[in-house]
Amino acid sequence: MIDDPRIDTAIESYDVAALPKGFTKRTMLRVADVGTEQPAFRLHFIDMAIPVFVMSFLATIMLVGGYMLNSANPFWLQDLQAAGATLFAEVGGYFPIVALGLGLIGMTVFLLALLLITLISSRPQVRLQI
Amino acid sequence: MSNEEQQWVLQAKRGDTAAFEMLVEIHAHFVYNLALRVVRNPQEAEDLSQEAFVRAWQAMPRFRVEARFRTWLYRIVTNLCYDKLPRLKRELSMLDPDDALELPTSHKSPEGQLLSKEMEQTLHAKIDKLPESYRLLITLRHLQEMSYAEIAEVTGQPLGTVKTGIFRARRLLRNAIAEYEND
Repeated sequence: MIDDPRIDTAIESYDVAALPKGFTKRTMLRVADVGTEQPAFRLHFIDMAIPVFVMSFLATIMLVGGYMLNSANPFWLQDLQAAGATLFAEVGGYFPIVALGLGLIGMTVFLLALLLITLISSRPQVRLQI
Repeated sequence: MSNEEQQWVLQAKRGDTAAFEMLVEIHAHFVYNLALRVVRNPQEAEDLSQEAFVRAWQAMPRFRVEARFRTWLYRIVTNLCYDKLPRLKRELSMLDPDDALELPTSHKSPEGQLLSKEMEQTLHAKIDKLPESYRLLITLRHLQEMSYAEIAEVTGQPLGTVKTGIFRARRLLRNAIAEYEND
């Protein structure tokens, strides 16, 4: 019988050696002498997507800001200005649109911050504690 | 892996040597015995075990937390054993995984299965003479209560190969019992 329990007993009682004295201390001395290998940097899709999104977001804010201050006026902003004038007339002024815009900007920044925190803590090579 | 151990693994990943020391404390006994059973020399076993922990420390940032730490660590030890004894890996990979297998599902000996001192010594002598590959497999199976699948992961061998190796080791020991009883 291959499942003879005497085989198990013999294997279990076979030569289980005690750990040499000071093993952990000697091991930790060797560990202290070496550093850890940081993982090689790998570019993920998100590494490209976030900067592209942030740049587009900032560019949009700057253009809209320029539009509102009348200091930037490319041809498509003229169309936007015309559409904006119609919209502002319909909603009864700048304030609701500006409030909505600021709210959206705030929410986007907040979500972006949450995303970055998640990404930073999931990257093992990042030591930053948040 | 206990919650406490999981915590130490996370801290060690961030470079906390005190947390890594706790992991060394937990696993050192088995790592040392695994190495000793393969290389058979206490000094070499200690060197090999320490090297395994040093490599584990160096690679900690790359350890995936969803993996099992002990499987990962024992795989490092086994790879070092392969480096030390190249024939060990050859022996394992030459095992035919299609051998007929009737392995017990449990490896715990029931209460009261006492061996006479003489028979125990005979079996221990037989274990001494087993090929290193068989000793490696039965050590993983018996000393650390590993499943066949986990042993396959640690040794980097197919499941069938692992089962064949353990089956053959047990068959050799069963033959030793038969010989002892016939004498």
